[in-house]
Amino acid sequence: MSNPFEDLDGTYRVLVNDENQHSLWPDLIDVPAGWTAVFGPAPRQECIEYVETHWVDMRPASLVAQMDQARPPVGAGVAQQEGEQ
Amino acid sequence: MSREVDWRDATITQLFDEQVRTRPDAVALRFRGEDLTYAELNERANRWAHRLRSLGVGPESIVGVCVERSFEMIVALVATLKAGGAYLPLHPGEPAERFRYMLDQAGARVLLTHEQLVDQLPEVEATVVSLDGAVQPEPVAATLRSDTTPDNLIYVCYTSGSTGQPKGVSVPHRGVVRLIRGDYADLDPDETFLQLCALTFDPAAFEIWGALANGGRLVIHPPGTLALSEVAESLDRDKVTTLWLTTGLFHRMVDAHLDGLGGLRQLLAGGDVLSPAHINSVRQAHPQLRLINGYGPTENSCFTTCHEVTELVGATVPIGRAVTATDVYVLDEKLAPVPDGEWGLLYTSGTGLARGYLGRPALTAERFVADPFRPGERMYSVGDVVRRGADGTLEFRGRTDDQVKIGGYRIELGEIVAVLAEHPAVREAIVVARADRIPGEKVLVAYVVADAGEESLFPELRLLLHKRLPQHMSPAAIVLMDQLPLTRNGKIDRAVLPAPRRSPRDTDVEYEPPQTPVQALLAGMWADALAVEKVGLYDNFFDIGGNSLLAADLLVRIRDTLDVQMPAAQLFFRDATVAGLAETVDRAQEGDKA
Repeated sequence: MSNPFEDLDGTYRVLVNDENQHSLWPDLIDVPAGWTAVFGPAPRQECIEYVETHWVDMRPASLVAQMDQARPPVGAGVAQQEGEQ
Repeated sequence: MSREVDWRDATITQLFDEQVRTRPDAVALRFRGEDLTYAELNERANRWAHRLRSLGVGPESIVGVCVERSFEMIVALVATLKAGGAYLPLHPGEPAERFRYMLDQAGARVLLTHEQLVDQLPEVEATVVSLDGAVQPEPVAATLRSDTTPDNLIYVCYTSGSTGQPKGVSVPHRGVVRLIRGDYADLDPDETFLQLCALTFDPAAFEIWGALANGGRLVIHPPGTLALSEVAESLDRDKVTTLWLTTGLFHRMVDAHLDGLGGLRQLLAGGDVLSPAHINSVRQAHPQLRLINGYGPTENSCFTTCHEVTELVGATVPIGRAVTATDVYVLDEKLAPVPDGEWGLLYTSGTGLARGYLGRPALTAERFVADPFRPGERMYSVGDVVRRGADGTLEFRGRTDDQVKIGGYRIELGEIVAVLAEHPAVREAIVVARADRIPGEKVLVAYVVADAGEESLFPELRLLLHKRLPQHMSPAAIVLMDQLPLTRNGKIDRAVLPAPRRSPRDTDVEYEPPQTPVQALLAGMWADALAVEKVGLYDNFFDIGGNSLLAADLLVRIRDTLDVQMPAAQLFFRDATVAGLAETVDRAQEGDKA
C-alpha cells in the first residue's frame, strides 16, 4: 500500500489553513474544507521548494498573534530571537 | 486560576503549579530512598528558572538537557518549563556531530548538564550550565509569572530520519496535557510511577508528567545500565503502581521477573510490536492487573491508541482505540476510509498533534497534512498499515516501509512475523529483508526467540509458513536468538541483527528455484539443516554438504513434520534432490488419501 503523499513522480498542490500551516496535497484529491491551494499543481519537488521558502515561521498564526501581544515587537530582542528559531 | 483548571486550556506548568498549591507536602520524587515533596521540588525549580530567565530563556526558547536520572534531571525540566522554555533531551553518549547538530538545529542557547559530564561533552556554542555546581542562592524562589500558552512548545524530541539527519519533533503543552489526562489509564494522585524510560524517548513524558502534573509520585530509577533485578526490586520496595515498559524491556521483564510485576495496578507496554506470548503470560499470571498496549508515534505525543488486554490475545496484540481528544482514520490511497476489516493507512488528528519537525517545513508539510474530515485541521500520516476489527479495535500490521519487494512480489514483513508468532514456542520474532547475503539480491531472514531448540523448531516453523503463506514469503533463513538486540530507546535494533551464518550454495548444478509449495518447503528444510543460503531443485544433498547422518535426521524430521511415510535413507541416496524427495512426499500423501 503506497502513501499518497510519497509519490515522487506525482503532481501536488500546496495548501494553507488559517493558522498558516502548510500541507502538501495530491492534485487528484479534492481540497478539504478550511484549506486554500496557494501553489500548484506542480511536480512534487517544486511544491517542496515552495513550502521551504514560504513557511518560515512554523508557529501557528494564532500563537504568533498571542505572543506579539504579550511582548510588543518594539525591541530588537524579539526579532533576533525569531530569526534564530 | 481556580482549583479545577480546565485541563484542555492548561499548560503542564500550570497543572504542576496547581499540585504544588494543593499538596505541597506530598512526596513528588523519590531517588535512592530519598524523598522530595512538591514544595521542595518547586523551590529548587524556581531558583533554576530564575537563572534560566537571566540567560534569556522564555517562551519558545529551547534548552538542551543532558542529564542522568537524578533529582537534578527533574529539577532541570520543571525549571525550563517555569522559565517558559521547552526542553531538548540529549544523551551523553550521542556521537559528537549528532549532539551538536541537534543543539544547533534547535537553536538552543543553554545546555543544562551535570558537573561530571561537562568535560565529556562535545564543544558546543550553547552556554553550558552545571546543575550540581554550587547552586546560586538566587534571591527569589518565587514562582515566575509565565506567558506560556498551551500552544507553546514543551519539548523537542529527535527521532532518527529514514534518510539523513534526525528530525526534531516539536511538541506543544497541549499535546502532553492530552497525554496525561487521557482516559486509557487511571492517572490520578494515588499513582506511583517509575521513571525508567530514557528522556530522549517520549514515553518519558508520560512517566514524568503523568505523575507530576497529576499529583502522583515519581520514583526515579538509579542511572546507568539497567539491571532487571533492580527494576523488580524497586517495583516492590517503592510500591510502584503504574509502569511503562518499552517492548524489548517488557519481554525481558516478563521472561525474568513475571512475579515482580504482580504488585502493579497498571502496566503499559509498547513502542514496538508486542509478542502475544508475553502479553498472555502477564494476563494469566496477574488477572487483577490493568494491562495496556500503548501505541503511537512521537509526532502525536506518545500515545495515539491504547488497547486494554482483558482476555488472551491471538496472533497479534491489538493496538486498540483512539485515546482522549484523538481521532484515527484508516484510509486508502485516495484518502477515503476503507471498510472495517480491510487494511489501510493510519492517519491521526486531534489535540496530540505535534507542531511539526523543528526547522523542517517541507518535511512537516509532507507528514502533517490537511484533514479531509475536520475543516481546517491537520492530520498526521503515521505510515503504519492497520485495520479496524468488528469490535472497533485496530490491529497493526507493519510500517508501510516494512513492505519490501522481493522477486517482484510485494511482501509485508509483519504478516510473516504474525505467522511465526503463532507457534507456541516462539516468544518473539522479527523478519528483515537483508541485501548483504547475496550481492544484488534481497533475501528474507527471520529472527526468533523461542523456548525450543532449532532441531525441533525449525521444521515446525517451515511447515507453519508453508501452510499459511505463499512460498515467496518464506524466509531464506531462520536464526534462533537468545534475545533480540535493543537500541538505547528499547526498540529492536534491526541494524545490528547478525547476518545468518550460512555458507553460499556451492555446486556445479545450475540453480533451479523450487516450483511447487512442497518443493519450497523441502528446500527450506534442507537449507536449515545444512546451513546453506539456498537449495536448488536439482542440487544433490551430498554435494552441498549433506552426509548420511544428516540425511537420516532430515528424513525423520520430514516424516514427523509432514506426517508421511518416508523411504529408507538408502532409497533417498539414489535421487538425493529436492525434486526427487518432493515426488516421494507427494506420492506418499496421495497414498494416504487413497
